Amino acid sequence: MKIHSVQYDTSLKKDYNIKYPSAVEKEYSVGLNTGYSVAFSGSGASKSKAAAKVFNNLGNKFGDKIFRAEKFQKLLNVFEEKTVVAQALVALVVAGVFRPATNMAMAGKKDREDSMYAAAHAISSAVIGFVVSSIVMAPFDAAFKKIKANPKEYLSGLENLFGVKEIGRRKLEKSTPYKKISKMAQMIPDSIVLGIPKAMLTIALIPPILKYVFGWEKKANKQDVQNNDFAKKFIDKQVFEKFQGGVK
Amino acid sequence: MQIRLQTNNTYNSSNYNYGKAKVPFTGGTNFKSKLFNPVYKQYDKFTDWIADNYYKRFYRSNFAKWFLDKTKNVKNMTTHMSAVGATLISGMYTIRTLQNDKLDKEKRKTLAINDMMTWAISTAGAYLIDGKLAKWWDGVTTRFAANYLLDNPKAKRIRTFGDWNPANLNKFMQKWYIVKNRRIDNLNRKIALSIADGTYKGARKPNLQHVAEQVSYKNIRDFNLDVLKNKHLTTLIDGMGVLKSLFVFGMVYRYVVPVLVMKPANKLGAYLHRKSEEKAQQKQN
Repeated sequence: MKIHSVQYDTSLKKDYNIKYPSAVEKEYSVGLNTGYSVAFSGSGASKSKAAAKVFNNLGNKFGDKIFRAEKFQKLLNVFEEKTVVAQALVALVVAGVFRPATNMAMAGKKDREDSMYAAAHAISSAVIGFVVSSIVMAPFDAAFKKIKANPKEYLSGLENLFGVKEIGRRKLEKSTPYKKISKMAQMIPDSIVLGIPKAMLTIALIPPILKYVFGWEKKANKQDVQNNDFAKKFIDKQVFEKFQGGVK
Repeated sequence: MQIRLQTNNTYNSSNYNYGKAKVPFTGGTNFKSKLFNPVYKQYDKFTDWIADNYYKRFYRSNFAKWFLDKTKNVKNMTTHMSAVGATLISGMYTIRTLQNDKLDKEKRKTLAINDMMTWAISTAGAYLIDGKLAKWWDGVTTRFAANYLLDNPKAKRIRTFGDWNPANLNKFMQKWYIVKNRRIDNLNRKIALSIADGTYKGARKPNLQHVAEQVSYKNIRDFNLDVLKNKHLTTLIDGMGVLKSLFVFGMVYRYVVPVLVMKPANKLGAYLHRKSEEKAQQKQN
């Protein structure tokens, strides 16, 4: 049986034997739960600064309930630790749900088929982007976690570069250069290296997905359908597949 | 069997698990884990390799030095990396359009301009909206942190600061100098007492000065790093920032511009094209 040593954070207690019933609350008599009711006695502290906002009804508003949900906090973890996967997830929601829904809602009788095609196109590209990014980035995210967990092993000697006295987790969290270059390192494999191949793969996989998943195909040279889309009006199918405006 | 006791020093604890006691089960045999063990080991080795050969090299590269030197004023890399990724993809679409032999020159040019316009409007719009939302989002993030403190009283550091209501988090941040000065008063009193009874060992200088009123926090991230020192909360606060930027860039690049802006733009383009065709026909006649 192995028992790890217990680390008490004695530095916090060492110098302060008196427990403050929240000094700030005491001074400002706000939201007291300690029995104090002392009015503000500071000397002009409020002159230069606007009064700080007290969160009314904290924990009970709709937004608070979302913030307190375990799933939301797990999602935030993904956004910070697996930024590329999160980016693909946003694309999945926006391009896979919002965009097709709006395409269909805005579709008129004349361009209904084109809107369906555009909707299917958006869903396909979002799903492919998410799947590819998730698979490729999983080992990169795991590797980055190792760097974060043991920065001394990987980053020793870079104190000057990051502007810290020594390499340590909390010190690095406070270092803007470290945060900047880390985010860049996290996103380069997907955004720069994988960006173009992923876009090409998306283009290549859209026709079979349309055919086999959605069960229909856009007619290549239909003459009878009038549509208002400038791009589609003057170009052939192949090019249109590559152009929808914006990022896929 | 391992027993690991959790302490409240969250940044020094190597196995921080968000306040839950962690007792790993190692007894018995597990068919699945035995079956996949070699795979996990290989995967673990592979991630080690990436950590060594990609991340470690990247941090130590001349590019990293050059980049950090040139971008001292830049803070949010998530937005810039999103923009760079979008620029590359848009650039690829533009080049492919220009190289398409099935189109005549004029059409290629028009489409390429359309691609570039989409990219330019999206990029400018995304940066603009991201910047405009920054202050509001800081407030939202502070409220999020207050909710976190509501559910995790340990993170309030009650033993040091006494019990306080997270609803007053903004005040706690803004009037931080009051707490700080009270702690300094307390220290001075202790030092004076120890000097008086002859037990003072000179570890600290007597008569520590009060901090100025400017010692306050506007940003919940800094406040957490300096005062609350909660690692999990730091990750969540950073996650809130990334969430905002990715959502704004995703919405603008993939929804607002393509759906809401490009459709009217296409109609306008079609109208202009029809007009120019009519003019050309009139000239021919």
